[in-house]
Amino acid sequence: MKPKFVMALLLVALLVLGAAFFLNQLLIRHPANPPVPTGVAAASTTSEPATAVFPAAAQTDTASSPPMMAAPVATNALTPEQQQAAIDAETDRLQQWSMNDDPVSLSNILADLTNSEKEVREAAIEATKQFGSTNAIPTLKAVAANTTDPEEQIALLQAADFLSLPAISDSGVQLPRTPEQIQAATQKQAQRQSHNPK
Amino acid sequence: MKLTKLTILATAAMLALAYSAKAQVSFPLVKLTISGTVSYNAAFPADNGKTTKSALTNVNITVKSLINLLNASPTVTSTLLDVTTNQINQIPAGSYFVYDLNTNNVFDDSDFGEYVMALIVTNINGFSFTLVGYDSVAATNYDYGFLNIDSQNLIGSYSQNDATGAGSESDLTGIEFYFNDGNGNQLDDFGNGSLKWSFGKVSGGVQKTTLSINFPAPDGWSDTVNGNAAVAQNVKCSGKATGNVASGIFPFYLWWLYLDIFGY
Repeated sequence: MKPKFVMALLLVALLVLGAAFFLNQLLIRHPANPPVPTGVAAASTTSEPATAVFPAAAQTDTASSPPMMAAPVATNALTPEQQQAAIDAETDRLQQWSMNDDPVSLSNILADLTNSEKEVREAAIEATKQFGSTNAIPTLKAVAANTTDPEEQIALLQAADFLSLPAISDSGVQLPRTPEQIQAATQKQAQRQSHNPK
Repeated sequence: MKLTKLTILATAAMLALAYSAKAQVSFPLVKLTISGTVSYNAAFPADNGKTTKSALTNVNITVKSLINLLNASPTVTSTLLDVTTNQINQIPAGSYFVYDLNTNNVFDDSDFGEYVMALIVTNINGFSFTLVGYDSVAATNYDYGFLNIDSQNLIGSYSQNDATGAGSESDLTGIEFYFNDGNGNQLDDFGNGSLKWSFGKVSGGVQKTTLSINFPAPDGWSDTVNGNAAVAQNVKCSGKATGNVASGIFPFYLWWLYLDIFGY
């Protein structure tokens, strides 16, 4: 009887541990609350996402961007591995938001331009470019004005310039070629044929 | 006795699960961000009677804009219909590029060289479109893009713990980024790329591996925008991914050299 009881106890303990690990993984991947948005369509929420443990380092001082609420700093409680995992999770989210076209995704991206983690800020700058909205330009310039790191300042301003250009997919129709271009192409083709008769 | 049997069965199931996971190890797919600018002449020189002028037009490149080009191309949409599982002719919104290191030597074609790393357009709903492949309906190869690393000049430095197998590696190589929508837009750009690896301790023949790639391709070659000659600048592909990889590939640059010499 006793071994049976011990075995059952061990099995139950194993199942509980497995369930706890699974739930933990699930919670890490899916934060309970979205990150605090700023800029376009900013919400008035002050809640902090479960994994967004890196609060804003500076405020985006623009009329269109309401001030970001300070969040509790949780980085000290994390191991370096956990901290890196949280950074990776946030950069993954930024990449996902950058593929969307909605104002909430843009707000989330712009909020991370002032994240306390440099790696996240860099990912946010790239995500802003990938999102491809000129609405981000004022925020990029405002954050650049408040940034002390010259490299980051340049990256922010370059991102603003990047967004001021049209996308390659919006570049219009093909131009008819000039007589000079047509003549040059004909000569080039004739040269190729003379070198490579087939 | 029944409980003992149950425990044995549970243990066997867990071991089978672990074995199955081990059998599926491969390089993690690297989700890419691609950006850059392209310059071209969008208008004829204009003469106002006093001065003749011509200016360059600049456009930007992003993952979204490249996917938009693919969706606007009749050639690509025809291929999509032929090769996608659900026979759709448009890449769904929200899709992105991933870089697949597992596809080395799959597309063994003299036009592409021996090693071609596939670019795959995919999304979270399971859509998948490899940009190089064979269209069996049209009975033709197609090539809308790839991201290749120079296997001849892949070099690296690394540090590995002899006891655990864990360590890190930093590789350098030449890279080529190629994109062609079959509709007048082409990017064929070259540069020096870096691959940074972080390997966890070996467990069950695999190790948790993080790969970061940074592939700037500043040297444009045969670029076109809407059929017009163009020059791309500051094109960059980068990304990071984590997954379980078979322990034998560390250090990657030597493993790759082995592949290059002895074949896959």
